[in-house]
Order: sequence, then structure tokens, then C-alpha cells
Amino acid sequence: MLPRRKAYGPLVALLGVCVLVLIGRPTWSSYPRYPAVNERRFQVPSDRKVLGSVETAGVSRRVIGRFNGKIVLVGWAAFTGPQSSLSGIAILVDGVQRAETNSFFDRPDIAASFGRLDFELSGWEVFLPLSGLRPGKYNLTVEAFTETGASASLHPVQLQVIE
Amino acid sequence: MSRGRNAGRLLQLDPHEESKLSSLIYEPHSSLSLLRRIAQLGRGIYSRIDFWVTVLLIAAVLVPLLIRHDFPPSIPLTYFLDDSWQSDLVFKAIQHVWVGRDVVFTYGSLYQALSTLVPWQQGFSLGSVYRSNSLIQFCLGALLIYVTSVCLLRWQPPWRRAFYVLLIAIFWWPGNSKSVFSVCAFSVITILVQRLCDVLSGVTWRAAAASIIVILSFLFSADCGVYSLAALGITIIVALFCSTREPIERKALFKFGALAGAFIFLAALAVNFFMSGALFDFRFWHDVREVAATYRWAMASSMQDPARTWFVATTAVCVLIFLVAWLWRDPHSPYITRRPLFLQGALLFSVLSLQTGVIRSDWEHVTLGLFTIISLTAAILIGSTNESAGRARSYVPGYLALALTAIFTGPLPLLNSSTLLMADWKHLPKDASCPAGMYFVDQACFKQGDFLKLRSVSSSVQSGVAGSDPIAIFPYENIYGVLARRRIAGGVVQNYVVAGNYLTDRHLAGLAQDKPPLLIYSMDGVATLRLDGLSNFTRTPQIWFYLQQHYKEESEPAPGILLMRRDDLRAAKWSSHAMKLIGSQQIDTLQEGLPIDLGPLPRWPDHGQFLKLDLTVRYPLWWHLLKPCRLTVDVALADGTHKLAVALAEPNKETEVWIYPGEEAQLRNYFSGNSGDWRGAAPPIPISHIALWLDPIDWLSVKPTGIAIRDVQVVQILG
Repeated sequence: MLPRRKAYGPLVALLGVCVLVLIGRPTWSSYPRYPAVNERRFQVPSDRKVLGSVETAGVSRRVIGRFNGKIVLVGWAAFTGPQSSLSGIAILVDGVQRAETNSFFDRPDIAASFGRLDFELSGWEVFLPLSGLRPGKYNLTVEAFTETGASASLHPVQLQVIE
Repeated sequence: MSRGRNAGRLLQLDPHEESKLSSLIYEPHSSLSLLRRIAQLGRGIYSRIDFWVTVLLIAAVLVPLLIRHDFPPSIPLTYFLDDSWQSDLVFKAIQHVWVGRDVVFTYGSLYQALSTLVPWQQGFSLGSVYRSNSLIQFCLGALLIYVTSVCLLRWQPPWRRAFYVLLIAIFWWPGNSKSVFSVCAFSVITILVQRLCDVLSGVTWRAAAASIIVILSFLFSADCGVYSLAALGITIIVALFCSTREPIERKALFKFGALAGAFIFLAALAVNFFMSGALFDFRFWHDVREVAATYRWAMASSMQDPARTWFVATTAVCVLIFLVAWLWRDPHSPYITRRPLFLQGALLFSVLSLQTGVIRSDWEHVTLGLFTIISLTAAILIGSTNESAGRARSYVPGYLALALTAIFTGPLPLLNSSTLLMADWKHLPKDASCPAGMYFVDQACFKQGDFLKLRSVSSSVQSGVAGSDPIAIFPYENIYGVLARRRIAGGVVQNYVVAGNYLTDRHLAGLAQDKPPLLIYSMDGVATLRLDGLSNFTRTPQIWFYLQQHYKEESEPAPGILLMRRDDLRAAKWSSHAMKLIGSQQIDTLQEGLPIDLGPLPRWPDHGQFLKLDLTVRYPLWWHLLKPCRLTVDVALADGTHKLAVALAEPNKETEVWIYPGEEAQLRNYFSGNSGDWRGAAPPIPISHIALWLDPIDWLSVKPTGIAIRDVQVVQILG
């Protein structure tokens, strides 16, 4: 049988080093941090009441649909004021309301990009019927409403109805 | 008199303690006896400290889990993909629906049964699944690491095994037990073969034990089974290689190999019987083969730069340690980690296990792939010497293992079981109610967005179909069905696993058999994420078309989440019309970084809806060790804009690639009850040009040697 000092010594020493490793590990360790920490990429402009976009329109800022068809519009909207939360979206075609929604989905990418947790529930999706719209070009506006009834519009996009 | 007898007995029992005990022999009898018992207990615990450390680790995890079983865990972020299969596997097991027998998945029925233990005991709920899943995984991992330490650190003092268990379980456990399972399987098989070579007896029981381990591994998960089978093959081949001058040993090894093969075959027949009721129905094994084979090309993903650096660095350091250990090898050492059989077999097995990280190279899978080489290297460092070798030789490798752990592991959640466990403990409820900002559903607390989706979809499902009816899910959010307590139909647990003809047919056969009256359809980009940037329509087009033919939209309980009602009349009226746009082409020289131009399209028909490319991408044979390139279809529209659609093409097999050239959200129109809306959903701008890009996914991608295009068609569907 080993003398007690020899048998227990290394265990105590190694456990001691284990504790040191545990304590020091966050600063010593070299493996990358995953998942990557989302860092804020955009500032919230102080002069804008509402932010958002019609993502279906893409960079061309144009939505194309067929005569008498239906198109799905997807986008996001968020009020910049800390006390104003989004409660509804209305879709206006040449100033006439044609669709609305008051249910929203999570956009963690938007919240992370602006560093604003309150922007998370900002995604919207609307089924827009084109019935009654003759082939041609229209102004499509998204109007966002707060819980208090105040509203603001996103930048308009072009709606093109084709045969 | 009695005191004298006791003192004499003590002195006989432990002569080393004579001096210390001399002061005690005149103490009263009871004190002496107590001290003696405490000393014995201490010695008893120390002699099995590895076991007690493992028990403590498991108890530390299980006790809070069992004590707080009725408190709801907080789920700060719901991962609809992984949380769905985890909860659905448990829900299926509770309903006696088993992977391998009734459905196909990457994990097996053993994994399913183990995951079900706590929810089954506490009553099934999402809360019980969330509360127990990773903790049960950790307990299993700790147990398997202990078995590994017993195998690889045999004849070492118990504190070394305890140290190994602590080091691997606390610092290196990758958050999932399948890698631990295959390392444990390798260790046990190596011990069996090494002992066979040493004693040349017990061939039959050793072969039976090895075959049982291999079969259990297949029942745990498909990849685990493949690795364990490889471990058996590698160990036998290396043992034969090491015993070239030992004819009796070679004979025993041949007999072992033959018997293990026979036992595996017999066990496979038994599995057939349990899975399908027929001895010679090999469907389970076909499923496993297809799941493992399709995963390489259908789930390949890129390794980001930091992950690549640490993948290479970790592998290089571990291989270096293996090489140094090889220089110090001793064929007659009592320690398995110094013997050539282990050193060669472990290195080969470790390199093979890196495949997990090579194929799907997100950080989680890279750490799963690295676990084997790390844990076997740690066994070499801790288990190759003992105290008799001198202080430096004895302890320096152990300190090196610690130093490497300190340098390499870190505060990242996916390579750090202590962080994972702390996170789980943090989320373990301290109260019977949800914290502020979290909402209660099915014994768990979710954040507002997830809560709204889960509650509204599940209540719509509950009111829409009877409790006994199954439902269909597209693409992979089974959690809605689980929450509504409805069985998820289909032959494969989740759609993302469906790739290749065999698994597609299996899934469709399940849907056709169950005829689920309701479908929960989550729209791309709104209610579901695209896995690896691939549209869910393009990933599983046959599934999408089946659902489109049999379901029509009924309601939208949450944004982008549609409930569809089964309508078999649609299939009866459904037809398609295809028109060839481009004929066959053979491209043998692929220039890196340049697109493969298929030329301008002759004429895009009015109301053309879908593009179908029939093609074969050819790869050299070694793609089976690495991964294919990413195929992107570049669709140029007449207005000058482009749509880039990532697609899947099975290497060296004729594949149909389906692309919806319009904006993916418009696919919703195809589930309208009015087939006129389908025409309306045809992309409004004609397509003028098509090109293909074959880009390396990362540095482990194999460059294709050519591409054969049968044809490119435009397809219209009519109702």
C-alpha cells in the first residue's frame, strides 16, 4: 500500500489545479465564442417615428402581382419611441386600405441589428387581394399603428399589376 | 483484556497506522470502533473514488431535476427545429411509436427510450422534456465516461480515473452523448480484443459482448452504430497487424472476428424481428444506411474560420501526443494506453470520428467530432504512467492535460458542459410561476412571441381535429403537434432528414397511410427558417407537391402559419404540364469561380410556374470522405433581376432539382381552394437565362469533375 502522502497528494494537487483552471478559464481560453454575439449594426435614427420595410419588394422597391390574383407581403415595422408599441398594420393601395393585420412574428435579427429588444415582435405578413385593380402601377403604403392609435407610414413601394 | 485484543487486531489489519493508533488504543471501545469504521469508510470511498465522483456528478444533476419536477422551466429561445424532434421523440415513445419500427430518424429507439425516462415518470409535457433532456444526456454521458475510464485506465490508482471523469465530463462533454457512446464502445471493444490477445481464451463471450455493443450503438443513433462497427473492424485489423508473429493469437482473432460477425448477424435478425415482426425484413438496416448516407450530402454545411483554426489545432496537438505516446509504447505494459493495439486503433478511430465535424461543420458538430480524439488523448496523458515512474514522468502528462484544457476549452456554450449545465440549472425554475416577460404553456415558460405562436396554433389544431387523428407538418415544426397532443404523421420524424428517393418514398408512404386530416404549414421566411439557406420547397419538393395536391388552406392562426384541411378531391383534379426549355448538355470542364451557363431560354411560357432541372453532378470517389460543393441555380429574370436558389444534388446520381422562380412567400397561393389562384401565383416576370454555380462549401469540399444535364423544364400545375 502506498504511503498516505503519496496516495492523496497528487489528487489534492490536481483538484487544486482544476479549481484554478475553472476560475481562470474564461480569460485564458482560446476557443472561439459561439454562437457569435449579435452586435448592434445600426443606430435608430432620432428623426424617424417608425422604421420598417416591405421585404417582398426587395431592392427594386417594387411588388408585382397578376390581375385578380393575390400576393403575400412580408415585412417589418417598429416604432422608435420606447413607449410606442406596434399594434396593427394597414396596407393602402393609392390611399385605399385593402388589407390589415394585428398579429406579428418575431424578428430577432431586427432586434439585434438595432440593439433594441422591443423591436423583436416586429415581423408582419399580409395576404393582399388584387381583385378590382386594373393592370398598371400603384403606390403601396404600409401604415403602422401604435396601441394608442397613433400611426406612421413606411416608405411607399410600387405595386405593379400585370395581365 | 478486550482493549488489548482490539488493539492487536487493528495493528494486524493496518501496520502502517501503528504509530497513529498507539494513542488511541486506550480510548473507550466505542470511540475506537467509530474511528475505525470512519477510517475504513474513508479508505473504501477512496478506493472507489472514480465511482463516487461519477455518482456525485449524476446526483448533482438529477436531484434538482427530481425535486423541482413541478416547476416550469424558462425557455428563453425556442429552437423550432431541434426542440421539435426532441419533444416529438418523447411524445412518440409515450404513444408507443418507436424510431426504427414505426418511423425513421437519425437517432434510434434506445436514445428515444432514455430521453423518455423522466417525462414518463413525471407525466409528459413540454416542460418535462425541456427540463430533463440535456440533464439526462449529461447523466448518460457521465456514466459512459466512467465506463471508458474503467476500461482505459485499468490498474491505475482510482484518483486518476476520477480525475479523467471530472476532466472530460466537466470540460469536454459536447452536450450530446452520441460521441461519448461511440468512444465508450471503442474502449470496451479494445479491452475485449486486447485481453483476448493476452489470455487467448473467452473468444465466444468476448465476440458476443462486442456484437451487443455494436447493435446497441445502432439502436442509439445511426452514426453511432456506424462508428461502433468501424471501431470493431479497426480493432480487429490492428490486432491482426500487431500479432503477425503470433499464429495462435491470429487464430484467436480470426475466430473472434468470425464469431463477432455471426453474432452481429444474429442480433440483426433479432432487431428485424422486433422492428418488423419478420426475421428477414431488413428495413431497419436499410433505413440506417440511407440516413447515414444521405446526411453527408443533404446536411453538409460550412466550417467557419475560427472553427477551422481550432479544428486543425486541436487535431494537430492530439496527433502529436499520439505520436509521442507511440515512441514510448510498450507492448507488455499493464496499461492499455501504452500498448500498440490501443495507440494505433485509437488514432484511426479518432481520425474517422472527425467525420462528424467534417460533414456538418457548425461548431456543435465540430465539437462532437473532436470529442473522440480529445477523450482518447486525455486517456493517454492520464493513464500511461504511474507513481513508480518518478514524479515528473508520473504527473507531468496529467498537468499537461489540464493545461491543454485550460488553453482550449472556454466560455463557449457548446464545448463546455459546466456552462451548459449552469445554463440548465439557471433555467431550472425557482418558482411555480413564470418570471416577468415569460408566459406559461404546457408546464414551461416561453417568451411572448413563441408563446403566442405555440398557444394559438395548438389550440386551433385541438379544435380542428379529433384527439385520435394524426396531423402533418411542413417543414419541421413538430412541436405544434406535440403541444396539441396530436401524433405527427409520416414515415420520417422530420422533413429535413428526407433526402434521396428512398427516404422520400418512406415519408410519403407514411403520409398516404395515415391520411392526416390537417396540415400545419409554416411559410419560409415568416414562420420558419431555411436550413442552410435552402428553401423548404427546394429541399423536399416531392413532399411539398404531395401536400399541395391533398390540402387546402383553412386558417392562419399565427402569421405565416397556415392550417390546411385535407381534400382528396384536389389530387383527383390535379394535373401538371411540362415543357422542355433546354435539352441535354454534358459539361466536363468546370472552372472554379465561374458559373455554368446553360444559355438563354428559348421562350418562357405565360404562367410558367416551376423550374425542374434534371441533372447529375459527378464527383471523384473521395467525396465520400469529405463533402460536395454547394449548388446554386441562378435564375435571371427579364427585368434584369436575379434569383439565386440554393439546391441539393446527390453526388453521382440523377437528381431532380425544383425551383420556384418567384418570391417564396407566394407559394401560399398554391394551397388556395380556388385553382385560379395557382395561375395567379406564377412568377410575373419571365425567366430569360439560367446558370449554375458549384461553389465549395468550405475547405473540405470536393470539386466536381463534371455535370450532365438531362433537361430543364418549366412546369405548370393545374387543378
